Amino acid sequence: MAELARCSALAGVLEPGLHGRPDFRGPGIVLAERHPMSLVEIAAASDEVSGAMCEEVAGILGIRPPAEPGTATGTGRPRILWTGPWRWLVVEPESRDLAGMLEPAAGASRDLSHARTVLRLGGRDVRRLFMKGAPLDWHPSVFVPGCCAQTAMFHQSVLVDCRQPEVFDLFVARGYARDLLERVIDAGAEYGVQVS
Amino acid sequence: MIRITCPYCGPRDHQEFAYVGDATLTRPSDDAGADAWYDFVYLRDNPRGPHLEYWQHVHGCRAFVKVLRDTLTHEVLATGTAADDLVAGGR
Ligand SMILES: [Zn+2]
Repeated sequence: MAELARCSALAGVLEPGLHGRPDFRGPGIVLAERHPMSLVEIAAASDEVSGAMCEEVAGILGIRPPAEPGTATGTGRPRILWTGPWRWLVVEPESRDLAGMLEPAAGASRDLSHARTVLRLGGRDVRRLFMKGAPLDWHPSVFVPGCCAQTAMFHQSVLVDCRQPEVFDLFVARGYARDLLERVIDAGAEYGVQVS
Repeated sequence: MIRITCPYCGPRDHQEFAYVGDATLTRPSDDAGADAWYDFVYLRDNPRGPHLEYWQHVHGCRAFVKVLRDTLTHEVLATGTAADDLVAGGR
């Protein structure tokens, strides 16, 4: 079989540069793609299987999937995000066969590394940008590091992971990555968007 | 704007949800006959006031949510998981 390289949906689209009109303080938003990433969805269909799956995943990775909806565990290698009842997304920069490691665990797992684009947004105006794009409470006292949420941002299904008070990862279906990128840059023009 | 409390995600705007349909219907048995199936598939009441319905949190956790909604005022009177029995004034 031919060797397949992991190719970004934004290859040739995401060019470094400054967009919009920042004020004297400089760009209010910084944006970069996180690539390549390993993303594996794990899911169960009952409390019993879900409990066993979480136990086994914790044994394999050293990090337990969060029990609380809308939260994430792990500092990044990997990070495990709650995405629904009995369902999580395991995420890390690509460095090992994450899908293969999770395959033996109870429940079901599916490699989605090819299927999502991950944007990292930071800066003092990111929460203002989110307020324009999605109907959630983005206040820094509410959506704090360790929170994640799936919502409709700029009319697209997006998973938002708060990593630091002003740093967020956005997960979007690969086919919508370019559109989301354009909408973020357009909506962020008033703050200035530095793409790196 | 309607705010629907997802039993998992908490209060969210209705634009994150897709309307699924009437939650008061019971699926007939396979051999119930054409009339029963015609009723189940096509016929709906159109009540003014509290109405029990399914919504799906399609942009969120994807769970099906049972919603008791007043069709006149759009007030959401109660929500729960698809299996919950809802009482007005409850969660
Ligand atoms: Zn939900």
